[in-house]
Amino acid sequence: MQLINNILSSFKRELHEIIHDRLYRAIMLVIPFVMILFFTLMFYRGEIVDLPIAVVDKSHSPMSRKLLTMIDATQGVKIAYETQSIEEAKELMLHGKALAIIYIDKDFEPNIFGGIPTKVKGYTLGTNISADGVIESNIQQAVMTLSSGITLNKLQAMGVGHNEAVVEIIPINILSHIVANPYLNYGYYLAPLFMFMGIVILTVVSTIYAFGRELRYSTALEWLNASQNSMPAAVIGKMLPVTIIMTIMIQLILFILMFIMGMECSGSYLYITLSSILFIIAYQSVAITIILLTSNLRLGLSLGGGYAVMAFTFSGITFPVTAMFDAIQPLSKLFPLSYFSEIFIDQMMLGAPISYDTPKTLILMLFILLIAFIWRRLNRVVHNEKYWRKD
Amino acid sequence: MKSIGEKIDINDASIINKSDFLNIIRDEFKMIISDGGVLLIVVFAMLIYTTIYSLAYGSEVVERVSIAVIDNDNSTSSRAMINGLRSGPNTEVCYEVENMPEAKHLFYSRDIFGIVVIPSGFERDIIAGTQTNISTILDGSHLLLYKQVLEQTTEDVLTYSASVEAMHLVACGANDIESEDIIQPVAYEWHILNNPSMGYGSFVMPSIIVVIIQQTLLIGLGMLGVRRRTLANTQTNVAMSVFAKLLVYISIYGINLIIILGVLWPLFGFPYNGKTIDVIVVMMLYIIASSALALTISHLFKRREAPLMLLLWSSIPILLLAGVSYPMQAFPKWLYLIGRVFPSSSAVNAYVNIGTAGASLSDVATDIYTLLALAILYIITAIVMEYKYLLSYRK
Repeated sequence: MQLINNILSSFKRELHEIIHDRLYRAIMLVIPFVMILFFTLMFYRGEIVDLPIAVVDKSHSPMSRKLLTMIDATQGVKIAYETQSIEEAKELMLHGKALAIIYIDKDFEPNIFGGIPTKVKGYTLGTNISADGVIESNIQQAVMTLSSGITLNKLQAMGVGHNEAVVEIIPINILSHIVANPYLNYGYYLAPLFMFMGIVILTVVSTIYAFGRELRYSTALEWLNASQNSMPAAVIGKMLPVTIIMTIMIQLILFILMFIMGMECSGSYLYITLSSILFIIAYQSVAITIILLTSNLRLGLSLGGGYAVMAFTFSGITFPVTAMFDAIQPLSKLFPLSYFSEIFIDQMMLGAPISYDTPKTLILMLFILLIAFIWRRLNRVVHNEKYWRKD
Repeated sequence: MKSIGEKIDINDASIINKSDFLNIIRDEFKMIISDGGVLLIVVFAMLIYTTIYSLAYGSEVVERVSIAVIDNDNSTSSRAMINGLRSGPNTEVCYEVENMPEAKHLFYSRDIFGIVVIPSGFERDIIAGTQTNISTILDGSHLLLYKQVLEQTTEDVLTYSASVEAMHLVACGANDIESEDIIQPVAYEWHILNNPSMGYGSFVMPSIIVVIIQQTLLIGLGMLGVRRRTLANTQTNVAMSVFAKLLVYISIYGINLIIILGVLWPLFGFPYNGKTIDVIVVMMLYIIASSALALTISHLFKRREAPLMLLLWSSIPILLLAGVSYPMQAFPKWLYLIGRVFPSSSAVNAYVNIGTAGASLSDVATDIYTLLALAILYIITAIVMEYKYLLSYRK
């Protein structure tokens, strides 16, 4: 009971600090909202549609027009320019006006009717992987549809019945089932993980600041006194506001994903929420370790900030960890985001049984144990003046 | 280091001469070197980050993504199909499992990222000339992995499918050449002009180094600005002081860029297709514009810890706003236009086009003019802020 009272008084002191310190207030109450708003606006649309491309149609034939109409009708691509030469089209691409070029040779139609296999060529700059992927698959699809149509006509001309001809063209049909993100919405894939990344940065930075400012401005003993000199109460009371605010922010993110962006939760929402709390405390524990080891607010912020940002790369959100060099792969284990992002994907998108995620949750708890290892250092740093006032 | 501020009597305008310019440069270097935090961010962060990111993205391509196959037919044809799936290179058949629960277990454990199911009756249907189905189950939660599995399995099935088709046609009396035309009269050929491996590192690294330059300048100079003011280090000739400082940052970041583009780039095989003189023009303008922006906003911070706390999170939004790594067509136009106030937006576009796609300066003229305008604007604001501070200090 005494402990709870002590925690409460430490907690109250911390709230008071947050309200009266402009920097603390900004990082806890203003920036999180700005960040979440930004990513919501950025990924709200979610799908990449009507990417502008340029075409060079040397054929000018009914067949080439047919193909271009089919390409234009795809969801991802829009024919924005028609130029006379490939050089002209390339210039449009370098100016960022077109993202790809389709080139149709002048022999396009004669070849088709003459029974000579012909090619449609596509060019991109290779500077934008996500756009290139969408363009490539859309054009591929249009060309294949045209090609199959031509084959169908030829076979029918040869006297093959329609149904037999279809089997002839597609003897093996591919039925693709996409799990986790059936409409391949880029927003569903990127928005949550970018937002969690933002939460990681803000959690680490604000926790380092919460502890570091007591050393930097020599108020460590004042802080300890507020909890009747109970170190556990002082630490918990200090961590709690960050834990609570960032947990609320994750709830806000989940709310936006589900009710504004239309994502559906196919697993356990409760499990995501409970893991999110552990995820935040895990990052707070690492942050506390960093600030105590450096006992220097600014150095702690620089190192902690660097660590937080690294999670973006090493959690494999954008580039999969399994594709990295073998020696680099183990690094991904050092970031709580790696575990939480998998838990989120499993529970939100895949609907995997919880048993697959319990080991990940246990590892998040291991991060929290870091505080136990740093406890002696904590006592020393708080009581010894030589660790204070470092700038 | 306290002597920096005391050396100059700000009320004595007669002391301004040529050597003053050099003094400011020397003092600026001293300020950077004497402050570990600033040194780490302004001088070393760029090298450290670039090296770490290069190591992470250096393998470039996503290959041999593991998949599982469920063969419900166990026939010569299904074996042939599986051999086709084994040919790679983008996927690797790591498991052949008996049933869906087993495959699901592997899927949830992240041992595999795709499942291919061959139905029973597969061979029978092929021989009878009826259409048969192959099911693929793909993971849409990671788009790069999804794309590799989708493309490779589709290609493998189509290849096998074409051989079945050719067999049928030849059986119907067509010769080999005719059957090739009948199967695929129009093919599609895809050329990537400058990033032939479609490598992730080659795609993302140029944008990353550009953004790091601006962000480290904003944070580092913000810290330095607070210190400068606590030392009362002011110059009477504010314009000269601003230009001298710009020169300092051009030299620091210039040397960093030479190391990065000259050593790390060839080491990791990232593309560099532009003319060096064009790259120098873009980077010079960019470093000037972002240093001047950094000097301007450095006056807004009261405490040295503030710049990092307030600005660090913005790095990813700023990268996205450039509209290069995530296509600008996919987010609101007004958001993209707001992003243009950051020098990084124009510089990312200009540098990616020149460095990766081999564009010339005239191709990226809009970006160059924007950078020039931003450089002039932010130099003026930097001078104004410095001047305002000088006035308040004199009072």
